[in-house]
Amino acid sequence: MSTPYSFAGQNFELDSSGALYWPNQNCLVLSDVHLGKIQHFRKNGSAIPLQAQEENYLRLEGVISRYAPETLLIIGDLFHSEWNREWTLFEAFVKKQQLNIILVAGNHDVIDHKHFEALGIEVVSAKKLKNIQFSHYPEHDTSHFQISGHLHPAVRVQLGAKEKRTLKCFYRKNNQFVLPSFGYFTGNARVSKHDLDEIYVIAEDEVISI
Amino acid sequence: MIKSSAISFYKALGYTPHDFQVECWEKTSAGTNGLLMAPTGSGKTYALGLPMLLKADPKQKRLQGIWITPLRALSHEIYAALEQANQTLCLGLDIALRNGDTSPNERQKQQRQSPHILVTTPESLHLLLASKGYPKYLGALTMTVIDEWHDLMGSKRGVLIELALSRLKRLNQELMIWGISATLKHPKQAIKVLAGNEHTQNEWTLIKAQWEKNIEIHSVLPETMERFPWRGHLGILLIEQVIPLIEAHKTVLIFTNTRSQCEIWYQKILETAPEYAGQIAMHHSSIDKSTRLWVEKAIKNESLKAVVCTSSLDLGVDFAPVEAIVQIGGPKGIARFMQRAGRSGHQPGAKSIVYFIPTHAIELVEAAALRRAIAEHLIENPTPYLLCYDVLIQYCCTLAVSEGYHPHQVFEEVQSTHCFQSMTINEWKWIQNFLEFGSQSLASYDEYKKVTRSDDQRMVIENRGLAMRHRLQIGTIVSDASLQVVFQSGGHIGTVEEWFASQLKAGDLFTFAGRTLEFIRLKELKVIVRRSSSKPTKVPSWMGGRLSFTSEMSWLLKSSLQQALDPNTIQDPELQALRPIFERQTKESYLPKTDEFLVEVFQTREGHHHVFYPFEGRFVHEAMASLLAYRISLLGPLSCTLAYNDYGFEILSDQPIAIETIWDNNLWDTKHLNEDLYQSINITEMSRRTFRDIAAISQLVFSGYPSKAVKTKHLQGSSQLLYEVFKSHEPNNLLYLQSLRETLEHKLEEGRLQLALKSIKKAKVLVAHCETPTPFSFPIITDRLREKLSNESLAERIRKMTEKLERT
Repeated sequence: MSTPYSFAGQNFELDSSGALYWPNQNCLVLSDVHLGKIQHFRKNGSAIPLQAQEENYLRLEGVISRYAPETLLIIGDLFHSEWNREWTLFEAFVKKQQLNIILVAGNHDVIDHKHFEALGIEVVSAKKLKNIQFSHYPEHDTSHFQISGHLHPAVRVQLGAKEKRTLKCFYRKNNQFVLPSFGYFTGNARVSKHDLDEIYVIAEDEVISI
Repeated sequence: MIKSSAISFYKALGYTPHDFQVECWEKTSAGTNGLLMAPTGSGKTYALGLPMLLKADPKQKRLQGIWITPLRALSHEIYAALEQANQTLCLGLDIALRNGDTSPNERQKQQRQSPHILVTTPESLHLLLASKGYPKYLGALTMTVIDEWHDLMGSKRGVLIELALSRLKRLNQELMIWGISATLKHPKQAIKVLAGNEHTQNEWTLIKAQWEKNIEIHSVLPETMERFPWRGHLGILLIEQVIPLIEAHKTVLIFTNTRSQCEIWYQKILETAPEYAGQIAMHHSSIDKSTRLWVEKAIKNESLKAVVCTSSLDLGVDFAPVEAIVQIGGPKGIARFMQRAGRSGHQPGAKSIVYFIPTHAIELVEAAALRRAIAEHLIENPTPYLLCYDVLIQYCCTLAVSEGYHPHQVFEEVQSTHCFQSMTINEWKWIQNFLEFGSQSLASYDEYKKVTRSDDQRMVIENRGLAMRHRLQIGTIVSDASLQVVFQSGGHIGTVEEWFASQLKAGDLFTFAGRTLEFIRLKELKVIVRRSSSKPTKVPSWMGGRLSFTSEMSWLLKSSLQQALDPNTIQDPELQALRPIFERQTKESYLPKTDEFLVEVFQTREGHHHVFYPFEGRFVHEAMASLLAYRISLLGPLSCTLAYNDYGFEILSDQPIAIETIWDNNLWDTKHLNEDLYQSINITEMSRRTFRDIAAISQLVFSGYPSKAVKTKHLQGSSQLLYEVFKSHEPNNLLYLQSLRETLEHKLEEGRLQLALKSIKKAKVLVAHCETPTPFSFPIITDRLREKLSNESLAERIRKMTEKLERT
């Protein structure tokens, strides 16, 4: 289900859901959930099954019950687009939780921050915990340790002579660590293996280094 | 009336009309529908074009005839021919062209003041149906002609035509419909698909042009067959013999089977004969449109000696200066070969000359097989698509954005087409519900919005944004996710697939469109490059380039081998040249007769090889190999790898497989075929690819506004994701089910697989225990791209692969 990993002198767990757990801070970090995306598509005429939107909450609840964190740090793109009625599902979810939720706003987070704050969610543009900077975009300046999302990274893995698969991955490049997208209905952007220092792919319910 | 005017037109031109043309003029005077089978260059345009012009009333300012062609290039040619007749006969008709290149201005003009005759494409016709007032605009139509029907009917564009015709027939009870096709083996089926079930077949006339297109095939034979390789796919070895062929003719088209092969041949010709620089060009579908048009023009005005091309030049335009065709490697299908052959010898009475360049020894048999196909007039019929819900959904939206439609009325029309004849009322209701409610029952928090019901119960799309997006996405040709290749200094060169671009590092050199390019960087869906004079290291390859034998080709191949059995009766020079190879094959193993099935067994240090020869083409073999390996593995543990080509397939295992057990346990059985296929082949992976097209056609995904980068309001989604969503949340969705069905029917050719399995069961089995690889087995067993049968977990497989990479 998860694989231990150390970065910036800290110990983490890489979870097969795409989340990162930091035991020392009792903090669960995840990125790019893109809630409301299915409703957004439906609103624009694409008949994607509505039931599928439950999937994100099942995933969130699953990973929260596994680690029972004190803090849930979402590093951007919690919602996909403008406000829509999926908000009611999100509201119900938040009310059930006993934890601090912090949102580092991403480029997709266009919903007025007041809505989040009304639910007790702290909205910030970046967050520093210990020696690590958490932000949505990977920054150009790589002189300090940084964890981010935004890219939805995935790599192409050769499985056999003719079979290749694109799998979501965590990766490190110098002082920068990037999380895969956590959301159920989110696309991937393939990254090239050459210039990365470490890659961990999500292979069904395992996280393995390649 | 038509007949006499048509004959006088021909007199004015100084020709005598052909019998089939006269027959067409008679039948169209009588108002019958029909199919004309005639090759390009035979005068088929005037056979039906003159009736269309002569039936039109110039005084009535309304659209009266529509001519549909699959290609824009072709529509220009038809337009020119019709206009010429219009002028010569002083008919005073207004003929117009409407396709993707027509400017919005021009289109509006056509809409305001309708021409008498319109030359258009299937997509543009649907765009007409998507515009307000179309019933009036199209309501005076008397005749419509569907050109190149054999090509259209095997694709979803054919379904677009079937649907459009069902509407046009409703608007005009007297509409006369004619199809034009190449010579087909089963013309009645082609008529059935075009006619739908409203017309009985008797009402349709079949006219066959007695037109002997003289085609000569000359194979370029290697100087010594002994030293010619037993496997390969490029054919470069024979390049020295190809140069004199280029020299000997005014213009030569060199057909390759894939775009990368095209790139390589172009490079190699220039290396071998540098004096051709500037006189040869390349043409394939990934090259920028303006370059392609330039090449087409240059062929016409005789400024090119040779053009290396792919199927992008198969159809359409007549190139008079082309004197000969060079075909590299087997074209795998007769229809494709005939199309290509027909590109040469367009001068009246001229022969079509084809030079066949084998890429490996056994491929020469294909040349002999093609010669037989020409002699016996065999052209395979394409398999028409059935129950294309994706196209139907698009069509319903088309009607909904213009005038709206009453579901019960359109159901009748749709059901009258060949494609949807077996659609049930429940499936139709599902589709209407999908459009209206997004296939959900009304949920309070659902914001789905697309088709709504008007006060008078019409299905309509009123939202302007939705309507505009729909019009932009009409059509069934889905292009790959491709990136534009542009020079740093500006200027488009063409497109490469995203996965190829993703492998490139700055400084990498690759050859594209005949130039060596250095990759600089990726920027906003563009591959930025600069010219380089160094030697390239990479050639881009494009997915989906592989072709497989058609069933007719497979049958012909088997019977050509039959001829080789008796060396004294061999007539074809190719089979003659192959004699040493056949002798070797007979010495080591057998040459199977048509009623025999050959299996070769031998051992090397790689393991135990079991090679089977159904001669059914790569796609059928792929399915058959996986199926058989799976069924053998049910009898006992089996660890094996699979390989296949167009002739046969191999199971390589560490243990010997007793061939008798395959027959004893009835493993070729067609019972439970589907279930076993689902178990043995990664159908999910294959249908995911099929679903990509379905999602785009049914507009579940929005591919973006042309020429506008990304700005699509967070609406871009990948069809892969959608596939997973439907698979787990709506497995009874008709579009999802369609992707599985199309994979089985069109990708795995299930029907052919069934027939092949049945004939294997009946055949006499020849098992050859060989000492060494035979000429037949060598190309298969040396294939390094092997499929492995595996039931390990994904993580396990990745670990093994990673370990393997680390070791090497």
